[in-house]
Amino acid sequence: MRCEAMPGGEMLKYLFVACALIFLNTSVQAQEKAGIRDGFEAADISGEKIILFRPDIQVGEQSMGGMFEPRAEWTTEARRLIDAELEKAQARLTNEIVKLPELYGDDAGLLAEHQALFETVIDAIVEYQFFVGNRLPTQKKGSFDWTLGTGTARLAELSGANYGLFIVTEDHYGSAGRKILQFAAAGLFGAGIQSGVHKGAAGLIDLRTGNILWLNADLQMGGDVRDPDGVEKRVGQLLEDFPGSVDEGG
Amino acid sequence: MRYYGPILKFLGLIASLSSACVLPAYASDAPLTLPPFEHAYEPRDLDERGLWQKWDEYEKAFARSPVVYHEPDLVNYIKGVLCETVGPDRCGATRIYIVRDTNFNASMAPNGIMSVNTGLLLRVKNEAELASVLGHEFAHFEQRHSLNGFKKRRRGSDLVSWMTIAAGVSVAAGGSTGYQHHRDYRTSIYGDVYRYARDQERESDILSAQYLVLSPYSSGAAAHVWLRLLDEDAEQARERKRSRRRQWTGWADSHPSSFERADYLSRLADEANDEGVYRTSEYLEAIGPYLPEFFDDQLQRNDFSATKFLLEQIAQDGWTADLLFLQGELYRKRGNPRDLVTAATAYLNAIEAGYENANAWRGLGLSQMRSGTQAEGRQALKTYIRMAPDAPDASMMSLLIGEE
Repeated sequence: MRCEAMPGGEMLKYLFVACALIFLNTSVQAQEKAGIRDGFEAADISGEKIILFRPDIQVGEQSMGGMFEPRAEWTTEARRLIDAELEKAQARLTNEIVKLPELYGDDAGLLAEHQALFETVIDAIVEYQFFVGNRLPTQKKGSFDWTLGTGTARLAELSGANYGLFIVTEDHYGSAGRKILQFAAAGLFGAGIQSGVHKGAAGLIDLRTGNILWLNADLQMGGDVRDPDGVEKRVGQLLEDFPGSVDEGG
Repeated sequence: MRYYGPILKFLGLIASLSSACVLPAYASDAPLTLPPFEHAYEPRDLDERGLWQKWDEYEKAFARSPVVYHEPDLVNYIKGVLCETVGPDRCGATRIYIVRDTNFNASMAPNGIMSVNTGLLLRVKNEAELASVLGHEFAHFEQRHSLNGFKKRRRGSDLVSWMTIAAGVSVAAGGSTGYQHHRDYRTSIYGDVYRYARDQERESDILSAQYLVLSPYSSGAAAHVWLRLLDEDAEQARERKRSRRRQWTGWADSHPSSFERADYLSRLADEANDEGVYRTSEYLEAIGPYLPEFFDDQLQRNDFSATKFLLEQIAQDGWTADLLFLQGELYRKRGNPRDLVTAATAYLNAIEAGYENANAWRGLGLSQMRSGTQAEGRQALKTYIRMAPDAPDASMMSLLIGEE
């Protein structure tokens, strides 16, 4: 029997990833960071209520060898700051954004499944759509056609809104050891070791069809989610060019 | 047990003769006590708080996952066995989730999530065996193995990172053996991490044995679990013409081999010489209503010999109508001409023994249709459609027997 939900394979993966990171030159090539479904326009959602699902937020440190070390205090603080910043962001948006109250029972399960599905789909979008060179031969033209499936209709029913907004952030801050390693490798061999992971995505879903209408996703997000200024920058980046948004001054 | 019993006895004899027992056993004269337990424990250091929060978040979604079997009676029963094993104060720190997975497995997260696979429930035969596994998982929790394992992997990967740099420097400076040394050291560090994981497993096995000695259950049950797994593997190995597994512990194994575990657990039980109960009939009674469903998943694995072995193990105390039906399903699924005859007989026996579900007639009819006795097969399928007119495949079956 396995112990502790950490199968041997997983452990191997940790170790090999740690090692692979050393030699991996992770300078990211030019890639797209946003997508809009063909034919979708901001006018389509004008006056519509948008339901905001509880953002998935993970903050931690990156050990010397590259392992993720979850940090409870940072995660709690980031959640508080991001929640507050999202409320402030309402001023820039023409749609009313409403937080979905906590669900219970089967509905909570349904939401959790769709949150996970959203995260899987955005990984695929980043890999096979935003990296232009990775596109499948049938998708060379790059039309943005992604969906979570019609299972989201139940979420529309529950929330009374036709549109939903998913938000995900994952930050691994390079530990002191990781940074020293990074400098050592860069100084000695000019080898690039990545220090830190800063992923973020925000996606607008048509809950009746499950279609992703608008998406911002970036593997190298700016803004330190552990302090208010950084969070302002991060949320600004996540919601950049959100359909129907206006400049803060206007 | 069939294959390994005599070998184990022989090994035990050698061990006792040479007193070369390297196993950390109980101190023979000191009274057995458990480590002090802290009620409503809260995570302490930075790493532990982080891990707990991550798992707390995970649990919110996991609790409603479709892979989790939502049967409060069964969950309460398993919780009851855990409480009997580790005591009512300790067991209160855990939440039990039954996971629909046919593999023999259970797992423990640092925040008290205890997952138990349906495949495990299929493979233990009594409460004492179940208790030994639950006790093992609880020991991981009590000893905070997740946290310590995490720290160990981190130390390992830190070291490997620096060695990589050092190897680079050595090669850059004209050294020719830098990468060779790097590979060797890396291998030894990985090996150390795996060995650490195995040591944690042994520690959990030993602590679990202590729980059992202090509980109403017999600590002798623990070894039986591993012996039966070895027998199941032997059946599968023979069918698939491969060599047997889980006999020796390898370099990159996260757990000691089943053989090793059976060996030291039976020696610990001999030493403890405790008189405990097994509660076989209580276990079968509690699990019985769910058996057909659990077993149905196992049937889908297309793993005839191992499944047959499992079924015969469960049926050791008598073939009930449920088990006879499952036997029919097992043989019909493999579907050689002779299997279909065996299957038809099994379904008939199940019906005779009082099996009331229409599926027995379905299985009987399909087996007969395919084995040259179409007339009987049609009759059986007619009975099926009469008993279950709303079954999703009722119209297909009507088509099969040529009726609208």
